[in-house]
Amino acid sequence: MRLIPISAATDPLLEVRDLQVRIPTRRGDLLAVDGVDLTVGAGEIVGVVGESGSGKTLTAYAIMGLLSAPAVISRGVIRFRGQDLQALAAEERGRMRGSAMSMVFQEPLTALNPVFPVGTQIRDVIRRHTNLSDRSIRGRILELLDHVGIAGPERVAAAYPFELSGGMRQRILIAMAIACGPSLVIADEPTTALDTTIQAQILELLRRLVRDDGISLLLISHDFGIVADLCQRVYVMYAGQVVEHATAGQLFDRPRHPYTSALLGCMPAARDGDAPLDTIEGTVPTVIDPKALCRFADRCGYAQARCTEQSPPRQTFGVVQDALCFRAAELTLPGLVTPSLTDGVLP
Amino acid sequence: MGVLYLAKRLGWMLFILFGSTVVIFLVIHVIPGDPARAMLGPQGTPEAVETLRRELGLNDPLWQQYLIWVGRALTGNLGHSILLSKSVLELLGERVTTTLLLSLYALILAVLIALPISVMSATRRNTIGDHVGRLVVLIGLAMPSFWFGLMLMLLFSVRLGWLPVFGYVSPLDDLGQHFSHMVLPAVALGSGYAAMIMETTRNSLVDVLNQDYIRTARAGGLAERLVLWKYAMRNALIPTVTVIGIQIGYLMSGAIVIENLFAIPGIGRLMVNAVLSRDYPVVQGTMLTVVFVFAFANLCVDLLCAAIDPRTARE
Ligand SMILES: Nc1ncnc2c1ncn2[C@@H]1O[C@H](COP(=O)(O)OP(=O)(O)OP(=O)(O)O)[C@@H](O)[C@H]1O
Ligand SMILES: [Mg+2]
Repeated sequence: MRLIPISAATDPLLEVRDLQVRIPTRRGDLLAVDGVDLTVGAGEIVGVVGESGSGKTLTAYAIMGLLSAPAVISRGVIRFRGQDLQALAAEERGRMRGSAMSMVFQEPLTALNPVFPVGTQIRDVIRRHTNLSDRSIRGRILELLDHVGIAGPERVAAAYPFELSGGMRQRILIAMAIACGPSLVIADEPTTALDTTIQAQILELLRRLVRDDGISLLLISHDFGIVADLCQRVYVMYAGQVVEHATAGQLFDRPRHPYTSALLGCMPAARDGDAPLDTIEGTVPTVIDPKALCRFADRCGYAQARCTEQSPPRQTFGVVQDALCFRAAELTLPGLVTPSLTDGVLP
Repeated sequence: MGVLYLAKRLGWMLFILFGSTVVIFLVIHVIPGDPARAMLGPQGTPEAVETLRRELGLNDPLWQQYLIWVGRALTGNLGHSILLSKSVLELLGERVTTTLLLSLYALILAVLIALPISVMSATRRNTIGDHVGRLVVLIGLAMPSFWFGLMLMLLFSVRLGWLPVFGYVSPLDDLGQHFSHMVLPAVALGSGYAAMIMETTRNSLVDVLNQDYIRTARAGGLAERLVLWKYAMRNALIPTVTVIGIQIGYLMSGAIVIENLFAIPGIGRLMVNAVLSRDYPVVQGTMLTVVFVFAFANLCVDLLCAAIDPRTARE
């Protein structure tokens, strides 16, 4: 097994700086992603967590070049292997998608085209990025399906999506994503739509791909349990911003942002015996006119007057951890007490 | 495509055909008045009427008349025209081809016009092109084909003199003349159809382009051309083909109107003339033909749908 670096200090595979995604609406421009910094190193599994609507998916689409109108990148730089992706021509960008970087989506039920056999859909991707003969492509498809744990690949390749279960379809989508040997895979809530047992299998599969195939994984989730299980570093997003960034261990031991702590309090595993499951009051705001304030202030149990008067600073702790909060240094916030959950984290 | 599915569709078609023969038969026999009397007109003597009734088998019980009629129809014997000294089958044979050609031209024209415009409209949503395209659809849907045909005729034939005003030339006699006679009728007949196809295809394509699987295809790096024409179109055409099928009746009733306007000797004109002159065997024969063509076209559409969308055939 290869050693996986904890921090991506040297030349990250993916580097996102100050990313802003703007969506013009009738009420004004919505800043769905606002100033996100994010890196993924080679061979790393990096998590992005946050409630629904916090901008996780749009961040992923921006990286993949999949934003569709009216959403646009209005600021920021995205570098992949040191190359500025926004400087590339559409054609070059297209050649990169599906080969150098690829994506696995949340809804395996709708992510596959209903009128083509799944094998055909994988074939078209391989054909796009290689010069292999149809014969070798066929062999490669069967190999891929076998690799993602599908029994009877011949039969499955000829099947239509509606003939396959959700878990099977997600495996197919993963096979499609790794078909051309990408160095980065972005998985957007890959297990949310699946049963718990299937969920575990898919996560295990992703972990194996990272370990054996040298793929880097950006794993988006709103489930801390999954992130705790798989990721080395985690970005916590709220209302389009990264409010905290830390190693998984730091995050669970000593979260620095009240939002992180509140999210951890919502985890089933954090429950103390029969104590009721916490939920965070309120919803993620949509930011139309960014005001100088902390976006979490109105839901935060630790908010002070200044939190609604100025933008909070980003405070750093050690090499990796940072949080977007005035009180990050002074507060001692509850993390995750159950130690068993962090056992699964890779070294 | 499953054999079971094919059998089901065939069975359904036979059922429709059976139902239609009953209706066509009853329409003539149950409407008030004596067909024999009506055929002979006011001059018919009671003896002549009685002779005709016997000849036509009108004194037999209804079910017996029906069975005899269907039995004969199955062997191709549709009786004789009362006015023209020809068998109904002969009369039909000459005209079915003409009507089929007219409908086919209208259909091809409609698809050729509608598909590119709907793709343009759907991919450049809310641009000038889209708005113009949708306006054309609205006009096309609102315009009766009879009126549109008349306008075309007035402009291109009467005013400009570019095309013949009416009449028909068989493609076997003179292909060029055939087409110059068919252009305006085909345009008049196909325009409403084109509008329907355009509306359906545009909306379904807009919907399909927002589907997750299109994003998956793009995430795989596939060229936009392939994404549009293969991954999106195959799905977008499912409603289109269905609409084409549902509206085949519209095409056929339109053909009757247009044939009469342009004096084209097709089934539609034959039917109208037969109804006006109470030539019942011909009326029945034309109706049977129309129903048969309709059922057959629908079967084709069903099979086409199943070929496009694997889900229909396997459910
Ligand atoms: N096309 C669009 N038009 C308007 N608003 C949009 C559009 N797409 C996304 N948004 C908004 O942008 C915000 C961020 O969306 P995003 O899908 O990135 O959230 P997410 O963190 O992935 O949430 P989830 O967990 O539900 O997937 C949301 O408030 C959403 O409503
Ligand atoms: Mg999302």
